[in-house]
Amino acid sequence: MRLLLFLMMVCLSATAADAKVKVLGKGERMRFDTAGFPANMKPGYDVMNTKCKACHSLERVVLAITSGIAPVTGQPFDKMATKSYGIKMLRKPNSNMNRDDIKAIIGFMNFLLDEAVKQ
Amino acid sequence: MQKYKKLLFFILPALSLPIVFVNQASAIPPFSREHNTECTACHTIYPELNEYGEAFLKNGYVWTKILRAPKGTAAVKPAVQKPESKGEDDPALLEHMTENSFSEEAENDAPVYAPKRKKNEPIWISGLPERLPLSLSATLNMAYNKDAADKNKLDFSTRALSLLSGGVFKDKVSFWVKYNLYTEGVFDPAVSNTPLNTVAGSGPNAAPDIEEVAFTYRKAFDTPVNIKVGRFRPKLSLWKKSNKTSVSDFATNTFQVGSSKFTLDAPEDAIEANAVIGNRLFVAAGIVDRNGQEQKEGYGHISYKVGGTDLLGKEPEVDLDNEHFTDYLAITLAAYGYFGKNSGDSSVERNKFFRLGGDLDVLYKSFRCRLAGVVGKDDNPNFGSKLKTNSYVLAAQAEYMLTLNLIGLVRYEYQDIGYTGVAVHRIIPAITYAPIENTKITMEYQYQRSDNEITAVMTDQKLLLGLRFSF
Repeated sequence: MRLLLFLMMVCLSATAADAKVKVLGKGERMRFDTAGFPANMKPGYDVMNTKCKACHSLERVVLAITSGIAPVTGQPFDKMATKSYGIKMLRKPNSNMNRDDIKAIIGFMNFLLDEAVKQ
Repeated sequence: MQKYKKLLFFILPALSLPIVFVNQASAIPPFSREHNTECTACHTIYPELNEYGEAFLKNGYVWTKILRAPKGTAAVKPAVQKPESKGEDDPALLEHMTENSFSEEAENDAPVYAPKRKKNEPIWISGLPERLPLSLSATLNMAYNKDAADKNKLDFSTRALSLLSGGVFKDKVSFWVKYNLYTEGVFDPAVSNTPLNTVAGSGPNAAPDIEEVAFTYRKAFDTPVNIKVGRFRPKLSLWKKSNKTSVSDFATNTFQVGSSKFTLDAPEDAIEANAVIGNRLFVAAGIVDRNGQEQKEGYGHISYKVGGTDLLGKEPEVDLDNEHFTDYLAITLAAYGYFGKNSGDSSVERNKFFRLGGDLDVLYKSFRCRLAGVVGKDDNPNFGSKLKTNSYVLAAQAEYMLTLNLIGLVRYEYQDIGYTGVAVHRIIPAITYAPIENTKITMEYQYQRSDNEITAVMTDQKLLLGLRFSF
């Protein structure tokens, strides 16, 4: 009986873990653990991992998603904010991002926000 | 010999440190440290401001905050999960972010986006910045002029070392300080567009002084009005003198008439009320107190921005499925005026004068165009000769951001100070490179032609190399 309960707890905790936004590393090396991400989010992550990182580390994205606060401005980081930041980066000279890149990144960040709320 | 070897053992690693860490040097002075962000958040190439820098400046060095979730939307409050414990996470930083996360003490069930008290409560209660907001800024110039009057064709100069400070106390009072520890040369645009060492009385450390000390009471009495007092540059032109990447300043900001020291960008003891109205309109008005005279001087500014990031830093609505050229276009128009009366250092004669000006700033992707024009009238600019003088100064600059750290520009200036009988034309191409965000290197060429009504046309050419860094 104890073994059964233990196995049930393990199974339940494993299910919950799938929905978590896991974070690895610290400081400039802070990043998302992509292990549990659905396949359709991979393109968004790849774009973020290459184009966003050209100018800044992923630390500020991780902090924004996990805290709900944009670390530089102190403003709320919600789905309105992800679109706003997307537009900002689209308009930023030499950001090297087109509309498809921006849409992929916004979709990915919105997915992360949803996952963070589930926890 | 052994002693020297030991010394080298310590010195060599110390000398190599800047090489090792140079790639990590990304942030500069007080705002960068306070907000933990890079210079390019607010600057194209320091010190030229981008749209966000302009919004930050106009709002008294505060990122405009949303205090309440917009109506009809549910504020998201992510449940923060501690990182996986793999021995390499940074829970302290996440905890700090969580401390500043949402509070749910709203009156009407809408979550309030307001930071909770920070850990260091006495500092927070006192309104003190957690970091001492101080920085140093240095400017070095090299000028080459093959026809230099003093035969000094190649001139290296340490132009200035300044102490800068800026910040905000509890989002209510902001401050800005610039103290010149050392300056060299006198800027006299009637003679040259770069500071000269040869002007009498302008030797090394000519003017260690408080250049600006200003305090701003933000959103006074819960209105959109900011009240600014102290010594500062009255809000006239769209751009402060320092808002540039070139070595030389815009002639519209710095031209002088006769012996009058007045320029559009001269710091004055003043009080100013300014406000962002409706997110895109900016108005400012103030009075200036000049020593030794009872009558005050007055000025006003109005500007409006169409397209682009608004004056509170909010992005425009953009359809991500359909491209339109207006997505990248921002146009700002400004008009201003200054009415004053001044006198020379030792003169009791007064000069009544005014300046009226207009600016246009157009931004499209990496291209930026600035147009500026000023007309002025002085009734006694030499404090004695009562020589009424009209002045007309124009500047037009096109600049292009070639890469994130490289900007090319060309500027044309026209300056006609009535009584001199000389109309000056300048063409100034320049290229600016920022090897590190807090360091700017500019190479600038100046061609100047003076059309004199009496003597022959005169030309002058200079090559300038400017280095500026802050830390």
